[in-house]
Amino acid sequence: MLERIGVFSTCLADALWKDALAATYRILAHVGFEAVPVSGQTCCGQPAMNNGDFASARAVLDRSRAQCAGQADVVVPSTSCAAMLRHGASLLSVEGGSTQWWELGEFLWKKCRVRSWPALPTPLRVVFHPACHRRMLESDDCHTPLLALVEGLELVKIADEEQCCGFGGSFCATHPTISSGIAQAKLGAIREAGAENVVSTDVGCLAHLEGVDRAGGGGLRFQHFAEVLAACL
Amino acid sequence: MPLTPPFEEFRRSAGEGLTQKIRLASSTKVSQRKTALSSAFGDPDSARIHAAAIKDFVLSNLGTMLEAFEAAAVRRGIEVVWARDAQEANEAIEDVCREARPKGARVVKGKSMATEEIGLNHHLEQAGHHVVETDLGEFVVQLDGDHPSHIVTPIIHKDRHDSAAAFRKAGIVLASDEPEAIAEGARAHLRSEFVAADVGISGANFGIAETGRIVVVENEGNNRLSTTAPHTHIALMGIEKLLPRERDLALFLPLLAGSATGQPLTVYTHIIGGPREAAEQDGPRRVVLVLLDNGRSRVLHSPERVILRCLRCGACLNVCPVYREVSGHAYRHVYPGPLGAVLAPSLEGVEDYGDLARASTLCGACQEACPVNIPIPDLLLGLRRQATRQGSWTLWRRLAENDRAWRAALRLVPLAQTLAPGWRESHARLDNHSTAAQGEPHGRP
Repeated sequence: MLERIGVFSTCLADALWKDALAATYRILAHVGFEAVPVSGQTCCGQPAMNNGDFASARAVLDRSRAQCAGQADVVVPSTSCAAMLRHGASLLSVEGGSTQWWELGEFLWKKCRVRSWPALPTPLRVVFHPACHRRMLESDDCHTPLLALVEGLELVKIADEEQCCGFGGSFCATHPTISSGIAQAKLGAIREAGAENVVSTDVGCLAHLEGVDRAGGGGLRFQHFAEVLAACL
Repeated sequence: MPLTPPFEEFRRSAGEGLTQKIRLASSTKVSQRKTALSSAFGDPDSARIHAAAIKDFVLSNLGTMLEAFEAAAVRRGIEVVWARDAQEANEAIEDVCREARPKGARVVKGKSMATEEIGLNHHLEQAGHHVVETDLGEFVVQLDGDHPSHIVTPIIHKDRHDSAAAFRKAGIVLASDEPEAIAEGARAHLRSEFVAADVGISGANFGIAETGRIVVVENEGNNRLSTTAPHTHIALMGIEKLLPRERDLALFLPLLAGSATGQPLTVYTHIIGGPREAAEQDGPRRVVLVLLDNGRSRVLHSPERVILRCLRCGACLNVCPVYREVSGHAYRHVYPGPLGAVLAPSLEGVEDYGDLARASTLCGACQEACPVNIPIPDLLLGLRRQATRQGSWTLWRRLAENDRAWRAALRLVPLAQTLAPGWRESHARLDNHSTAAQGEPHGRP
C-alpha cells in the first residue's frame, strides 16, 4: 500500500502551467507515494497579504491549512506558496495543524532523501533560476543538488544569479516598466551565458520571464523544475 | 485606469542609461562584499546574527545606555546636546558655529546622512555660514546642487565625466577626466578650506556607551582633517547608533566595512575621545556631540523597531533589484533603497511614504545582505498593512472560500494578465500547455 500524500496545486500552476502539476504527480509516484490533490483547495492567501489586507489573507490561509488537516505531509510545487504556508502563517499569526508543508524539491531532497535520478533522454544545458522566496523557507539549496544528479543535464552559471526575476505578484502589474526591466537584466545574463533553457520552481517567475522574453522576440525555453525531473522518467 | 505609482513614473522618465550605471556598480559591490565578509569571518552569517543580537540589546536598553554614554562623554570633556527633532539639532549646531565665528563660520563637513536628514547645509548657509562638503562624492553633489542617490556612494548615478564637468563649472582646474586628476583637483581645492575652517562637522558611525567615545569611519582622510584641524568639532549622531562596549568594534568594524565597500576595514577609523588635552599639540579645542532623535524614539515603540539596528552600510541598496532600476532619487527621501522604504514611512508616516513599501518585489535579497539581519520584507508587509483598509480584499476572499467559484475564476487569469505587460505574451501558454489536463481539477492525470 502506497503512502498517501497531499498536493497543493497553487493557483498559477493551475491556471497557466498544468504540465508542472502533471509532472509533480509523476515524480511523486516515482518516489513511491500516492499523491492526491488537497480537496477543496483554493489559494494560499499571498495576494491579499502582499497587498496589505492581512485580515482577508488570514481567512484564506486559515481555510487552506484547515483543508489539509489530518495530512502529515503536503507537497507544494511552488517556493512562493510554500513560503506563504509556512513563513506567511507565522507573520499572520495563523496557528495550529500538524501538517508539514514541503516545497517539491525540498520534499525530494530532505524528506525522501533522493540521491539518484534517471538520466535525461536528450542532453540539456539549463540555467536554474532560484525563486526568491526560498529565503523565507529558511531551507538549504535542495534544487541544484537534485539537478546535479541528472545525467545529461548541464547546469550553466549566470552573472548575478541570485537576482530576482522582477515578477513580485501584483508588483508586475503596478510597476510594469521596473518589473520588466529587472526581467530583462536576468534574460540578458542568461543569453550571455549561452544557455537556452531556463528552469525554476515557480510558475510566477517562469511566466514572467517567458512573457518578457517573447515580447523581446527571444527564443528561450522555460520549464518548471518538476517538468525537467519528470522528463527523465 | 489605475494611477501610475511615482516609482514607475520615475523609471519611465529616467531611462535606460541611469539603470545601466547603477546595475554595473551594484553588481561589482555585491561581489566585493561577499569576498570581504567571507575572508573576515569564518561564518559571515553567524556574524550577522550576533551583530543583530547586540543591536537589539542596545535598543532594549536604549534609555539607560544613552545616559551612561552621555555621562562618560561628558567626563571626557565632550559637550552633549540632545535634539528632539531636526530644528533643535540645526539650531544647536548653528549656535556652536556662531560661537566659533559670530559673523559667519567657515565649516568643513565630512560625509553624514544624519546631516542630510536634518537639512543642515541649507540651515547653516541661511544663517550666514560657509559650508563645504569634503567627501569627494558629496562635494560633487554640492557643486551640482544635486542630492545623494546612495547612502555610501552618493554619486553612483554619475560617471567620472559628470564629476569632472561639475568641477570645471565651479572653476576648479583639472588635468583630465581621469579619477586621479579629479581627486588631485579636489585635494588642491579642499586643502585650503581645511586650513581656514573654524568648525568641522562629522556624523558618527558608532557611539560607545562604555567609554563615551565616538567612532567615525571613512576612506578619504577628509574626516580626519575635518575633525582635527578646526578649533571646533561637532558630531551629529542618531540616538540608535550606540554599541555597548569598545570590544564590540572588533565585530562591527569589519562587518560594516565589508558590507559597505567590500574592504577588510575602512582606510581610516577614528575613535574620538574628546577635545585636545593640555599636553597635546593638536586636535580640536572643543568637541560637541549632538544626539538626534527626530522620530527615532517613536520608531522604537512601533512595529518597525528593528529597522533601528541599521548601520547605514548600503548593502541592501546594492542587492535590491528595484533600487538597481531606479537609483536612490526615486525614493524622494534622504534614506533610499530597502532600508529607506521602511525608515521613510516609519519616520514620516505611511500617508506620505506608504508607496515606498509597495515598490518592492519582496525578494528578500536585502535581508540576506543585511549585516544586522533586519527582516525588511516582513517590515514592508507590515507597512503595507498599515496603509491598507483591512477587508478591502473581501470579494477576493469570498471567492477563495469557495473552491468551485475559485476554479471558475482561475480560467479568467489570462484576462488579468493583460494588465501585466510582462505576461501579455504568455497567453499562448494557455493554449499550448494547459489543455493537457483541462477539466481535471488541479491537473491530476
